[in-house]
Parts: sequence; C-alpha cells; structure tokens
Amino acid sequence: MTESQRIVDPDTVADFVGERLDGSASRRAHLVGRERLVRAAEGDLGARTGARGLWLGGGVLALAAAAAVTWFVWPSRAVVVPSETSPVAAAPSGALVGEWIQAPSRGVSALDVGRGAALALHDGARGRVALVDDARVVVVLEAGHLAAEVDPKANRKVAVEAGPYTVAVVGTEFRVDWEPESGELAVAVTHGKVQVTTPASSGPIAVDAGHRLVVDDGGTLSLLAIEGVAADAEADDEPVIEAAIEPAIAAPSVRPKPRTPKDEPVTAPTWQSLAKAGKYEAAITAIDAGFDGALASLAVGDLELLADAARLAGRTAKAEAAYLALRKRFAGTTAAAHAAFQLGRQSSGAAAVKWLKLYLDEAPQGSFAKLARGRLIGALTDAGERRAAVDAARVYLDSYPDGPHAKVARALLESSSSP
Amino acid sequence: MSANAQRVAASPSTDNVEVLPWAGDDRELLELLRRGGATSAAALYDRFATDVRRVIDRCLGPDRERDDVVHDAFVQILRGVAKVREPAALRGWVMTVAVNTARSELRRRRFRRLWWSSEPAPESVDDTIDPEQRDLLRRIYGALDRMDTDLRLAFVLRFVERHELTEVARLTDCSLATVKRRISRAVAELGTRLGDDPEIVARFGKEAS
Repeated sequence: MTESQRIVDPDTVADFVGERLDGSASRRAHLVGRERLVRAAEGDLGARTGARGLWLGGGVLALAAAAAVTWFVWPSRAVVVPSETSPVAAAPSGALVGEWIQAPSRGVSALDVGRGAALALHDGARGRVALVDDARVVVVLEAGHLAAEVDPKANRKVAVEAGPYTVAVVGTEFRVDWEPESGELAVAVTHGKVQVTTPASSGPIAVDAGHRLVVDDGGTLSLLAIEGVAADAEADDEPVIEAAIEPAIAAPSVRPKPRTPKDEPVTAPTWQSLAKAGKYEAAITAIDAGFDGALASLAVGDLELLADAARLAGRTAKAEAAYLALRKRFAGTTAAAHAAFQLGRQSSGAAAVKWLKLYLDEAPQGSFAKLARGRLIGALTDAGERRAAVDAARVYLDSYPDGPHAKVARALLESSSSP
Repeated sequence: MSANAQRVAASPSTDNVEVLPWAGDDRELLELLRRGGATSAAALYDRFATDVRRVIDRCLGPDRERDDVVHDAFVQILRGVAKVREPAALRGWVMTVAVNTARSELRRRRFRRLWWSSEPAPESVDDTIDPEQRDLLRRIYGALDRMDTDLRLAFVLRFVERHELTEVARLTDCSLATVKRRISRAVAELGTRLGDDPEIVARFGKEAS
C-alpha cells in the first residue's frame, strides 16, 4: 500500500491534539490566572484590570472608569488630544512586547512601538503591545484611555483591540470610547476612514469621516452624523484598509454617502434607521439582498428589529424567517419567547396553538401573556380542539376577567355548558 | 461561610502553596457566586480553570495569548453567572461561554489575517512539547486556521473534546442537523488540507476504504 492510497484519519489527529493540549498548567500559571481574575472581580486596578472581555453590560464586576482611545494623525493634521498630557511627552515604560503595562493613576506611560507612531496609556489605563515590526503594530487595550499619533507616511498598519472590538487604521483621525461597564463602543471619525470588527459581524464595518458608529451591549449598530464635521469628499478613493473581505462573509455595511458641505448633518439611511422611523417597507427593501445573511449574523436586537419590520411591512414569509432565526440563534432569551408569540400571532390552527403554548411556557408572565392566552382560545377552536379551548377560556377568565378576550371566553363557556 | 469558602478566602496566591481543587459541589459554588466578591471568583477559577483552559487550548491551538483568552472567558462567566439557576446547569453553561469566547477570538484573528495580508508573528508553543510534536501541532492548526470557524469548532468539540453530537449542538447553539453537516464538511476539508502533507499522512493516515 502506498501513501497515496492513505487518507488522514480524523480520530488519530484528534487523539494527538487531545493528548498534548489537555488544559494543564503549572501551579504558578494557575495562581497567576486566579489572582488576575480575583483582582478583576475586586475592581482592583480600577476598571482597568478587567480584561479584554469586560464588555458585557451589568453584572458582578463593579467597573469604575470608562475607557477611551483617541487616535490622531501626525502633526500635519489637526490633533485631537484627549487629556492635558501629550503622549509624546510621556515617560517611556521600557516594557517589552507582550508585557502588560499600567499607567499611573494620574499619569501617562508611553508604549515604545518605534517609528511613525507614538502611543501612550493615560490615567491608570492598562494594555500591552501585542505585535510590532516594520509593517505592523497591534495594541491590546484592556481598559482605560489610550492616545496615539500615527504618521500615515510611515506606512505601518496599526490596530487597537478593545474588548471584542478591533479598530484598524493607517493614518487617520478618530476617537474611540470604550466603556466596559456598559459594553458600549463609540467610534467617531473626523478624518479618513476606519474599519471596526465586532463579535456579531464576520467582517469589518467601515466608518467614514464625519460619522460616529455606536455599538451597544447587544451589538446593535447606530451610525450618526457628527455635527460640524464634513465628510471627506475623497474618502471613498482612499483605501485605508487593505483587507480582502470575502463577499460571502462581508459585514453589513453602514457606510453613508458623503455629504456635501451645505447638507445638514443627517443620520445615514440604514435599514435600521428606516425601521425605527416606521418606514418598514423601505427598511426591508434596503436589506433585501442581504436578508438571508443578516438572519445568520445580526445581533439579537437588530434581528428583532428586522423581524418586526418585516411583519409590520406585511412581508409574512420574511417575518417568519426572521422570527425562526431568533428562536434558533437566541434560544432561551426573552427575544426568542417574543418570537414564539409573533409566530403564533401570524399562524393559524395547530401551528398557532403550538407557538402560543410555547410562548406561554417560556414567558408565563411575559408582556404578551394576556394576548397569548386570549388568542389561544381562538386558535384551539380553529384547530378543532374544543375541550382544550374551553379550558383555555376558563384559565383566561380566571386571570383576566375584564380582558379583551373575556367576552369570547364567556361565550365559549356558556355554549359548552348548553345541552 | 462554608468550609470551602473559608479555604478559598484564606488561600494566599503565592507560589509556595499548593493549589487545591474546589472541593464543594456546584450548588455551593453557585450560592457563593451569587454573593459575589473575590472569594467566589477564586472558587470559580479553581473549579473550572482546567476545563476552560483545555477547551480554549484545543479550539485555538498552541497560543501565546491563551491565558488572556481564558481570562476573558472567566470574566464573562463571572458577569453572567447570575443567569444560571440550576447547579446542574453550571458546568454546561461555563463551557458554552468558553466556546463562545474561543469563537470570538478566532473571528478576530480571521480579520487580523485578512487585514495584515500575511500571518502575524508565529504563535509560541508550549516548550514542554518536543520540537517534532510542536511542528505537527503547528501543521494541524495551520490547516484548521484556514477552515471556517464553525467547522473548526464542530471538529474540535466532536473529535478532540469527544462530545456527543447533541452536546456539540448545545455548545455551538445550532441544530443537530447543522452539527452533522458541519462535522462532515470539517472532516472532508481537514482531510484535503492535511492530505497534501506526506509527513502528516504517514503519521496520521489510514487506508482508504
């Protein structure tokens, strides 16, 4: 038998990997990891120790300080300085690549990344330089405030990773506010263009000059115009980022059209903004081509918005697909329970019974419980389950004797007691 | 405070003490976690660190940022643990968070690779593993790096972690049918990607049926 007649056995590969990567760690490594978590839980090092992962809102950890990153271009352009102290004047930390650095509580520590870029941690911020060479710089910011000057002429790619987000840039001017406590990231671009990746998107989201992207804890994206900041007319001609995004996984773009100087600042007409403005049909039309991909990639808040917009636009099939996606991807959440109710509401007969019962099982005290119990009476009747419908009517009247379905319920009980 | 909680609270984090495993049950741990604080964080870490490290290790491969990712996972676990009601569900929920953290990290790296147009600096590998085996691990994870993240996770959870299909579906929040499809595709892709490497085939090959 020759090698060409052999194939790779996945079980053997897996055994090899499993034996060598078994989760073991030295006692010291375990203690270091535990201590790090304990300090994060205590809020020691302020909100700054936390972790790159302190991005889910609320919860156990009391985080004190909001975090912010501000970038600005080399002196040839206007400089946005986030605090009184310039990063250029900061004391060098002398830290090595990969080493965690924390700035003094009221001071600045510079990160030495070489030519064309000056970066500094401010006021207790904590971070590290993850990678640096002639072409690239990657900085991980756990929490706090980082200021940077990046010279576009140096032709080095620079990225900052904050929580689950990555902001990538080659020479531009923008400000990132990262608040681990609320889980909100805001990126305001005053010149050039940046791209932001989020856990909910498979690819980066472009944000042009004159706009501010806000990503909330639930992953909902909002794009707002910045008052008094004009969009770069040439922005679309400047490929700041050279990422080759695969079309199949491209993130939903929220890039607005450049505005003319006489335009008033406006909110970009994303499908989200259209839906929120009650323009449901326009919202569904705007996302039509990417609808199926959106079902698989949107965060829970946006997916709910999309499903409701489709329902309110009368696009029943799309609404059903979106509610089913909510059920599948976010099982066990309030959004999934609401989806069950909406699926019940737009179904009939046995299907309606199934969904309404599911909703009442998952959210017996939910905001749609009264409506669901009322609709269940009709759905059971339509499905030919008269005895169950009578029982449902009795339950309804016990809970909501003056509810909107009380009249129907009483009529059913009366008819069922008639000979 | 229970004996376990006292033990954890009193345990100094210095290098001259032994790390004792969490000896209580998950009901006791959950109660401790609901009260919050440093003691509960330490107990949580002691109870699940090996499991979380292992699944993240296997999902990411040998990795110099492993400890950061593990820390991220535990921070998220601490923040969300109030949602867990049943002690019996605690471990499953912890592992789901660990897998989700690994998935986020893999997607972040996918973007990094696209953006840099080339691979970032090579990741370091545990130097307790001999060089030949380190090299094999690098090649295997090199192939996994080129696979879709969901396929990669399905393969690791099914074949390396040895979970049942239903458990893989739960951990990756998808249907059983989707898991089966992903595993099938992952095995085919991995076979193709590693099949070109004669050393890999010699070491991990089997006769084609």
